[in-house]
Amino acid sequence: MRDDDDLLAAEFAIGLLDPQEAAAVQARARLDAPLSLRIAWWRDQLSPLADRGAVEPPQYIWRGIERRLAANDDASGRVTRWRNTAIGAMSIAAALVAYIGLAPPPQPVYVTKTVAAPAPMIAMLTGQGGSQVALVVDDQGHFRTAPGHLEPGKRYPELWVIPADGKPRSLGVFDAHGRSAHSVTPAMRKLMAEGMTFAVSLEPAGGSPTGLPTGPVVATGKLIRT
Amino acid sequence: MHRRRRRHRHGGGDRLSTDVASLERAALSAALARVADGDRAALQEVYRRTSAKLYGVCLRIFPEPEDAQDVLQDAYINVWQRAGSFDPARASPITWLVTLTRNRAIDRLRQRGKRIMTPIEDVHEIADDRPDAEACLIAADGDARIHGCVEALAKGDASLIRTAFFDGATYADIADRAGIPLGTIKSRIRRALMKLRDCLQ
Repeated sequence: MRDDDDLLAAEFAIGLLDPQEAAAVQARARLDAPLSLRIAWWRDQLSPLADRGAVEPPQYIWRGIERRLAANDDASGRVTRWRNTAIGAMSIAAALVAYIGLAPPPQPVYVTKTVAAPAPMIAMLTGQGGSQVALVVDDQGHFRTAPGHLEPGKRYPELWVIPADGKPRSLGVFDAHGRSAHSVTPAMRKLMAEGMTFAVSLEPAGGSPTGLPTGPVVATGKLIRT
Repeated sequence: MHRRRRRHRHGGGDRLSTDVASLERAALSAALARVADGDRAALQEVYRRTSAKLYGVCLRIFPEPEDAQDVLQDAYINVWQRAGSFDPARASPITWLVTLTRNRAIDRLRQRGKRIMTPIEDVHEIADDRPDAEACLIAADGDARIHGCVEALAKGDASLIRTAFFDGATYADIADRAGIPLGTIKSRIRRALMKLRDCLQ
């Protein structure tokens, strides 16, 4: 990371940049993974500054929120508004995918509410020891894995999807050292959906013998639509 | 004797508070995941767990309760709308909530075109007579390093950083308010940011 970019990340996280500069950083961070990670780091470090001294809000505040939620129900905003999140999970994951050398998604990732054809879904799985695995899923039951950083030792990485019931389902072992393409069974296709959690565990050759992760879970992340 | 007791108390307390913090974090992440699915009871849980903290954030930026309460409500409506974009692998839930709340507060400040014209405290004090290493040691003692690290900056620099953070003031705003040329303010704040980073790392 160049010092300049680290400064830029700090300036952006604090809010020192004027609106045009901030917009430019935001756009760049979508494709520049180290920059978006530095922004996340600075946010993490800075946020305790704001949080000095808890003050119990008056009771009627929650009632006000409930009233506004009711009014909000018919607004269509909820589903799509997450796309506007400044440096959200989406842009970071998209940035990381681009960074580790996968073809970037065909649509610009900052398309807001007018996405016509389904764009691929992606997840950046991260965790222990800086593990990084990018996952790209289409709507036809195919997915690709691309390890950015993974140290499986003598074991083999296995991909899992964890649906709402919390029970991991195996998607098979994948190549720890390069990109690979896979398909899922028709029954599993509905699990390859936006918002699902994915995890990578390290297993013996051939994958987990029990049907559940037996080795350490080294990376997790959520699937999002680009 | 004194040393040992201190270490003992410190070590045990740290571990316990780390455990409590990670449980709290897990509970909050789980609640946010349910909010993303449209579960109102989960939003109420998030509110119960975090509203005092986030109200504190709002009051720090808007000292008038009326404004602070409006921002607090906006923030939770925003949590409801955006919970789906929270990724526990990427950010701690509390950082996410604090960042979101602060952004709502700053949006409001800017929307109103509220330019606080009060002079920035101690801005001309740039002498730094405290050795950095010592200051960082003090910083390392607390749980949130950032407090100590900002304290460790020269007084004037610390108040510049705080002004930027709490007022949503850009370089240009700060230069105006401090009556210092833009280029000077930029290089001064950048130097302070680098010091801050060294202290935080």
